[in-house]
Amino acid sequence: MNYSIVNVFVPMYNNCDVLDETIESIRALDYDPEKIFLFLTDFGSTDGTLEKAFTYRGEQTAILSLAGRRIGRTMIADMITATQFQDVGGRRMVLWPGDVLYPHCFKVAENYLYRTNRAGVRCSWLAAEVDVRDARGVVRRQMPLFTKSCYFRARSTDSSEYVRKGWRHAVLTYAGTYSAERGKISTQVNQSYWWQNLTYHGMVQENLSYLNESLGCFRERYYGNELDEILFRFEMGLTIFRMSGEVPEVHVTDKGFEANYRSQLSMYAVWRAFLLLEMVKRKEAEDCLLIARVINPDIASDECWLRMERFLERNEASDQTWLQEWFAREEPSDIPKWPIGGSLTNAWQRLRQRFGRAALSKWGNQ
Amino acid sequence: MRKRAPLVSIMIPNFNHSRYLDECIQSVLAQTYANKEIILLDNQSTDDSMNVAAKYQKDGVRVCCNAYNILSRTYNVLSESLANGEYLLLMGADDAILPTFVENAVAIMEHYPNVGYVHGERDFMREDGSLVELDPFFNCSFVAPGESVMPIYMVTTIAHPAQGIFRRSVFSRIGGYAMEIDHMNADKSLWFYLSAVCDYGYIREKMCRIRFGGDNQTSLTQRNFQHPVLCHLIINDFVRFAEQYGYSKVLARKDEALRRLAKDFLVYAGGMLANENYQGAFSYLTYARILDRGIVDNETWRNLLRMHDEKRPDIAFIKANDTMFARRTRNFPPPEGFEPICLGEL
Repeated sequence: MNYSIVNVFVPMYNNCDVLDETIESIRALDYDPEKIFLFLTDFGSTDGTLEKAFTYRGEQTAILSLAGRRIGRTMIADMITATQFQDVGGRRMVLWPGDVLYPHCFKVAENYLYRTNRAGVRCSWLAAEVDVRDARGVVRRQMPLFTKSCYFRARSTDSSEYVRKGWRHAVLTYAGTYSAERGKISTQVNQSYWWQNLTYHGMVQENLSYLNESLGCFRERYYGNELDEILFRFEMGLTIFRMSGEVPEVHVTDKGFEANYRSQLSMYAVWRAFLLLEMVKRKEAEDCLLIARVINPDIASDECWLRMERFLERNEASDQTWLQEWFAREEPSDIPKWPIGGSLTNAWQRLRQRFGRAALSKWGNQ
Repeated sequence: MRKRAPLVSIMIPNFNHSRYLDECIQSVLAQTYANKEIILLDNQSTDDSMNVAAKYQKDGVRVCCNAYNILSRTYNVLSESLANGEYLLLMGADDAILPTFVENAVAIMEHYPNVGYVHGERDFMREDGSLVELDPFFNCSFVAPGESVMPIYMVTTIAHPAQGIFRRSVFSRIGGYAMEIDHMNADKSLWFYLSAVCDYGYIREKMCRIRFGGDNQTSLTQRNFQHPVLCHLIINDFVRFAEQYGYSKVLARKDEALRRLAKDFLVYAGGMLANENYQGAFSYLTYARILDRGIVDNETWRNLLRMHDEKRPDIAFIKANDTMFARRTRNFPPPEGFEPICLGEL
C-alpha cells in the first residue's frame, strides 16, 4: 500500500511545558519519517515555547514565528496561509500542544481510508476516537460513539448524526481539507476536537468517515473562557439553522436537527457549569448554566439542570453526588447507519456509481 | 506635478435588495471623485436585483453574481478578488452616500498618510426614504491616533460599513474581513483591528444615508438570536486581543461594554414581547443576566419579565424603552490626541 504524506500542523502559544510530549509522539510514529512534514507555528509565545521548538529543528520540520497575529480562532487559517508555499500535498492534520498521537495512528488511519475507498466510499475526512487525559494525568477511554466504523454522506440528513449524541465527545480529525479561509469551518474544528463541529464539514464537504478505534490521547479541554466556547458553538448552530433554510440545496438537515443541536449543546453547557463549580469558579458556572437555558429553554425542566441550579444555590452534597454520577455515565455506542465494510454498503455504493447520484438521491436521503 | 487620484473600489454586496438598488447605485455613480470602480456582487437574489443592476452596466458598473448565497463571505470575494482599488468602500445595497464622500475621505488620507480609514457621518433612512436626522457622533471633524479610538469600539460601532473608506494596505495587514466573527466584520471588528495599526479620520458632515427597519440583516439576526451572541463574542475577542497586546484602555471598558450590551438586550426583549415571541424575550432577559448580574434590579428588566410571565406586553412601555435613537448621547469630544481638520483646507 502506498502511504500518503502527512502534514502535521502544531499551533503554539505559551505551551512550553507540554510541547515535548506532542512532538515526541510525532517522532515516535510507526510511519516512514520521509512522509511526515511537521509545521510548528508560534503566535508570539513569551514562555520559551519557540525556543523549545527550535530544539526540534531538522529535516521536514518547519518553524515559523507568526508573532503579531491574533490568538484565537484565526490561528489555523493563518498557519495554513503561512505554509502554503511549502505545500507538498497529502493529508493534513492539526495537533494541539499537549495532545499525543499513538504510534500506530497514521498507519491505521491510512489503512482505514484505503479500505473505505475500496468499499466505494470517497471520504475527505476521518474522525477517529481518542482517549482523554484529565488534569491529574488520568487517561479515560471514551465509549465509542458507534459500534462499528462507518461513514456519513455529505449534503444529506446524515448530518443529524453529529448532533444526536456526543455532546462532549472528543475526536481526532485526520486528512481534511483545511483552508486558509478564516471561516467558522476551518477555524473551529481543531480548537475543540468536538464531534458536533463536524456537522459543518459533513454538510458541505465530501463524505466523512468514522473510525471507532482510538488513535491518540488528548487533554481534557479547558478554553480559559468556557462561556465563550459555548457561545461560538451556539452561533455556529444558529448559522447552520439559517443556512439550511436559505440554501437547502447545499445544507441538508432533517426535522429534528435543530432540536437535537440545542439539546446537546445545552447539556454541554450544564456539564461545563458543573466542572467550573468544582473548580470554585462560581460566576463562570452560573454563566454556563444560564446560557444552557438560552440555548434550549426546555432544559430548565430537566433533572440535571434543576439539580445544578440547586447545587449552585445550596451547595448540598447530595446534589453534587447526583451530578457527578450523572455526568460519569457513558452513552452506549449506537449502531451506525452506514457501516464500512458491510456487503450492503458495497452494494449501495456500486449502485450509486452505476446509476448516478441524482437518480438515487430521493431514495437514499431520508 | 499631477495630484494623486488613486483608484477607489466601491463594493456592493447584494441579496434581494432590488427596491433599493437604484438609489444605492445612483448615489455611487454621482460621486464627485472620478477615479473609481463600482462592483456589485449578487448572491443569487430571487427578486429582480440583477435586472435592476444590469441597467447600470453601461455606466461601468461591474455586475457579478455568486453561484449560491455565500452570505458574508461575499465581502471577501469583493475585497480580495474583484476590487482593484487602493481605497475600499463596502456599501450596503440598501444604503446611499452623498456625492462628496469619497472625495473628502480620500483627501484626508492623501493628506495624512498615517490615517488608514475615515468615517463619514450619517442619517438614517426609513423604508419610504424619509430621513431620521441625528446629531453627529463627535463634535468636530478630526484625525486621531488609532489607539485612542480603540476603546470606543468596546461600547459602540460609531459607523456602519457604508460610512467607512479604508486603505487596502492596512486592510491587508490585519488580514482582511475576519471570518470567525462574520457579523460585524465589516464594521465594528474592522474598525477596531484597523485602529491597532493606523490612525483614524472622521468627517462630521453628513456623508451617508443608512437604511434601517424592515427585513435587513440586523433585524434577522436579532430575531434568530445570532446578534446577541455575536455582539458578546466580539467583546470577548477585543478583550483577548487587548490582553495579548497590552491595550489597557480597551480592557478598562470591558465591564461597561457588557453592561451596555445587557441594556441593548432589554430593547430586543421588548421587541420580542411586542411580537408575542415570549420565548425569544425570555432568552434575551436570561442572557442579560449573564452580562450583568445587576440587571435583575433594573426596573425595566423586572417589568419586561412580568410582561413575559403574564403574557401581556405593554406596548407603550416597550416603545418608550426603545433607545435606538432618542436617548443616545452624541456630539462627543474627539478621542485623546486628536487634531481638528477642516475639509475645505486639505
